[in-house]
Amino acid sequence: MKKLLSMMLILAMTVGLLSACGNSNQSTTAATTTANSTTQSGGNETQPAATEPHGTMVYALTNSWGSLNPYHIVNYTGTNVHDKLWETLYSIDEEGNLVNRSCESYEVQEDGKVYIIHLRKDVKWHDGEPVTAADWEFAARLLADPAVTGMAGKTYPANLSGVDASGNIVETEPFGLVATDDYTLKFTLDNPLNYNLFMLNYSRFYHPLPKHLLDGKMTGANFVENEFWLNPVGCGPFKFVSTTPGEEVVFVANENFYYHVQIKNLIIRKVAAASLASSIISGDIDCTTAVDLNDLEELRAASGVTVRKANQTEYVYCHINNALCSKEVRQAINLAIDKQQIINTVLNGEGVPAETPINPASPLCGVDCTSTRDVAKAKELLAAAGWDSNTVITMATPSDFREDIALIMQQNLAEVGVQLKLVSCDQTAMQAGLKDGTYQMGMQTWGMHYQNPTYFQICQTPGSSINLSFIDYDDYANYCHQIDAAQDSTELYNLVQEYIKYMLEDMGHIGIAHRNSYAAWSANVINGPTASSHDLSWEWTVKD
Amino acid sequence: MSSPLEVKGLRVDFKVGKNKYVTAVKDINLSIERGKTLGIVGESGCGKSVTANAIMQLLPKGIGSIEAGSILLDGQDITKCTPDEIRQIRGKKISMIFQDPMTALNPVYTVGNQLIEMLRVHQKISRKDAFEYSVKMLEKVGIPSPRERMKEYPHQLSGGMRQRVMIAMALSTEPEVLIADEPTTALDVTIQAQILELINQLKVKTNTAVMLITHDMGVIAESADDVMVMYGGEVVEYDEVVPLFENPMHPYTRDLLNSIPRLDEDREELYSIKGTVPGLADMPKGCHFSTRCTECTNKCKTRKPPTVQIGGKLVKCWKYTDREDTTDE
Amino acid sequence: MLKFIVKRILISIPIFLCITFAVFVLSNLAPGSPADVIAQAGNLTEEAYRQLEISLGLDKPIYVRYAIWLGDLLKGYFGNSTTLYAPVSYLIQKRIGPSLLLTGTSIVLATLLAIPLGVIAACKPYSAWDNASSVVSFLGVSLPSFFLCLVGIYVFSVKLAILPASGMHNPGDESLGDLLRHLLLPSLIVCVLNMGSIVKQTRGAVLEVLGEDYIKTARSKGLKEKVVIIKHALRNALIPIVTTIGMLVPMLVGGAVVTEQCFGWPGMGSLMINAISTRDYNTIMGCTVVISVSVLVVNLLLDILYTYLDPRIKKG
Repeated sequence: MKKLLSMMLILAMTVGLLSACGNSNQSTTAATTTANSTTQSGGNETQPAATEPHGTMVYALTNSWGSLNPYHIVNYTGTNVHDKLWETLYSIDEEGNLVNRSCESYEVQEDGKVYIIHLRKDVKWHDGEPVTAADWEFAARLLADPAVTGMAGKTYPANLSGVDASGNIVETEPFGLVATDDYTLKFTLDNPLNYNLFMLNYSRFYHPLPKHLLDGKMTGANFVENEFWLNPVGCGPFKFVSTTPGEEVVFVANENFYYHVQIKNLIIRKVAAASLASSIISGDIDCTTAVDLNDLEELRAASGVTVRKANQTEYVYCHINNALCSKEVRQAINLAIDKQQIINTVLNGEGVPAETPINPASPLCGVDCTSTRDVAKAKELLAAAGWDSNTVITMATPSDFREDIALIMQQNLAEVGVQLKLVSCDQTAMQAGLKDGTYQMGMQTWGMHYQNPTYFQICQTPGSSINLSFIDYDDYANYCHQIDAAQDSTELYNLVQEYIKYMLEDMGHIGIAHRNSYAAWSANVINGPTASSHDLSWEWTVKD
Repeated sequence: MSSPLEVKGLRVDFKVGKNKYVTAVKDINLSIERGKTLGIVGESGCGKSVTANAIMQLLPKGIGSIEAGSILLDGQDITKCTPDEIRQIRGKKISMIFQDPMTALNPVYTVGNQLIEMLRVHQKISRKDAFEYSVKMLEKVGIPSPRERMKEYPHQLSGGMRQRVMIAMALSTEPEVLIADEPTTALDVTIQAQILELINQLKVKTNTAVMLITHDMGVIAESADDVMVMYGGEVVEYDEVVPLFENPMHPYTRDLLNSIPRLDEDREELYSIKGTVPGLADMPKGCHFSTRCTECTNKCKTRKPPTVQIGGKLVKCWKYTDREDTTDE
Repeated sequence: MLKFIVKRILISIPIFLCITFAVFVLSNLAPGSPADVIAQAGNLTEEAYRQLEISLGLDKPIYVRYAIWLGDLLKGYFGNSTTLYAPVSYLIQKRIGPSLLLTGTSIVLATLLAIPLGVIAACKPYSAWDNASSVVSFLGVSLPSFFLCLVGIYVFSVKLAILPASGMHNPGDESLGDLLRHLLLPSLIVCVLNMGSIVKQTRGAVLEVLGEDYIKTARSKGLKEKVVIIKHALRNALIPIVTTIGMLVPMLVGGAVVTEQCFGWPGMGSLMINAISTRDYNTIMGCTVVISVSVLVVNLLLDILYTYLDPRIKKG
């Protein structure tokens, strides 16, 4: 007995000693980096000004990003990882403006059917080779190879000429993305599109791939499951170091990047939502843009932690089976829901009621979108539509804040005589169930940029796999196509108002709220990420 | 020279509840000489094993306790020893063997391991020497191929062999006293005889004092030099074996002798004593045997009988108080 | 002995097939398929969706798919993850180390702490030690793991700030000390959660053994109490104790899922959970294979161990 006890004591002491050692290591590195930063700000240095990237940032994501293949889009979190390693034409800042990346300048020709992109000449692959327009064309052709199937990013180039609706090459047309010389790309579209909207919607689906490494080795057949993705060579602001798939990616600064990268080590890690706040407070995680609204108070109270409201909201909405619920019924349901109560109780007041995907605060919104709850009117509409109060609408709710919203909705709808049955399930089951009709309603969130009114169109287009409200008429799609094609800003604005008015009338989806989004930074971060998919990572900087 | 074992006025109580006690054995007096066997006989529950356990200081901790009396081992009162001293005495000066040799030997260690362990506890001896000595002990107890046996496990031996191993183990340290608690009860009759014979032989050779506990009068007749009959936690008769069999005085002793099935009698029913032994808490106020005694009187029921000495015999019964050598309790 | 092992391996094969088939069927029965998960993120036409299903093999009936999977397995091919697009064998290989480290440390700790506690409780029944062991058993068995994790993180990482809240290392720090610091809290939690059953089992088994005759013999030999308890009593009580510890093995390989999630520990448990919610059949099956093989192997090893622990059990 005594022997065991003494063994345990020794074990405990050893652990204690080693942790003390671990601690002292940390404090010495902290001391040296503070010394560096003081010389940097001090100005009177014997050393050269510290333009060296320094420090380590641990960036937490709550969803997995799939693989490092930039076309491998599992959910929209992937952009946060891919735009560090790979190049795009533009990044999008928090306000929804395009920020130049590899695109230095552009010309729009043929009334918006052709874009001439002048690429930066100083972009290099991480192995030192220059990035040329040929790398961009190579990547686009590879993706459009009919042998590539099952990639979510495949169909987005469908609006290029020479690419069909499934994203495959059409031999009879000229290919829509061609390198006309080493640093010039020519986009040819099927139809004229507004350049700004095109880039806001689609620029993140175009990347160069290293032709000098992959030509002949990577083909359509082995594009998806290629070992290159486990050890990729990119050209973005950060270089690949190592990865544990689905858990963590370790990057190091690309010191030859055309913008000055200030962080030396960037680690992107998947963290469970429940431990996010405590990890930020304790400093194990440096930043996140997926702050849970319930943790706001605690984070704000913690010393050294920065909580930052993003200039972007998330659209919380419900799919509703249009076949079961006619327009009048949908309008009635929309009127019956007490959106302000939902925002106050479930979202802690962080948001505004939503009637359409477009936030009323957006500069593109000129229509009055105020939300008013009107139980009487709702009942009227339901009676006029001949709604059978015995009909039960089954709504799928994944178990997070959506469940709480659904409970309030259930009460609200009961008041007007609509029975809502709630079923708990996970995200995938909800979507599968919506698709095959098991569920008639389901709740989802969607990030909408203020400057991008048509971003929501895939959910409204007949034939789309995410059109889970089963909208079977083309009106939404038509409005969006017109908006996307508008070359004139006044014309664009007016078309958007028509679109908004139509949505207020038709209610293809039921909007709930535009929810605020927050980023949180630990005490170590001086400047960090603000909103998901809007990372300007070269601007980030840490203390150590 | 003092007797190797002498017990005087031993009383053991058992705790049966919070502040509730019952007396398991009372007023036990015995002594055993070297090279002699004291047989303790009585029905189950009469306190034989309790007495033995008390002598070995193996009463269940916190439940059984010696409340009165002394146990003199070679003149030293071991009730006054510290636990450490007791531990050194156990196995060295006084050894015990138990009823069921299968459960009394540890099933996961070899016979050799357990024998060697016994030797090495009490003396500085190398493993090799202990091994050799144990082999000799196994020979002494009549086990064939003792060297091979050393590597075997208890479950690989027969009942009789195991008991021999137990005996070898108990006597390997050459103790002064050997307590054998029903050593043959779990064995076949033929093996019984062999084991008893073995114990007798060794007793003579090593001059050990043996306390033989049994409920079988036949075993007593075979092996004991002196006999102590117990009932209800008390000694009811104490005599040498021959006088006891020829002239049993206590009604209980007589009943016991009558219960032995005899081949030379023609009986249809076996004789059995009427009734059962009362529980410790339900002992009658007077003589403990009063509930079943065929010669019970009113005095027996109400007053405890004294122990009477008649010649070399001690008997605890009201029948004999008018005879000589009365000793009041 | 060899015959025994061979016989056991042969029996394990149908068991293995049953387990894998059951898991295969169950995971396929869950609504939604990997095609749905991929379709969630992008705009797939009906045609593209169908093509996707074909490329994932989802158009075939379930027993055919199982047979194909089994055939691949026998060639040593685990398939690719439909969510992470990496070979499943690569994923498992990367994750199994951390899992084994975490749960291995926990089991070792649990054994080292629980057995002495159980033994002391058995030797001193109804004493303060015994009550302490009952409390520990009860808490360990009843406390939900996420509760302990969150409390642990709150107390040690947030309030006291002496231990890290997540991950396996501080970035760039490869030292053993740093690893141990990160390992300490999660492994302690997993240890406490599992200690309960070992303590209970030890106490019960030792208590039972202490009533056996050979303990009396051992005492009557004059052996020190410590020797009696450890050499004679504990040794005989080992079989139920070892069995209990052996039953913790699936946890060892499968990963302590909730703890891994809470602490961001990159182990097999979180791999499995992610795979299940994204209907990544290949990864689910790959993990199942690894877990079931290790359980079967450990059971076999345990059975062999029993023959050494108790000589009464025949070998073969």
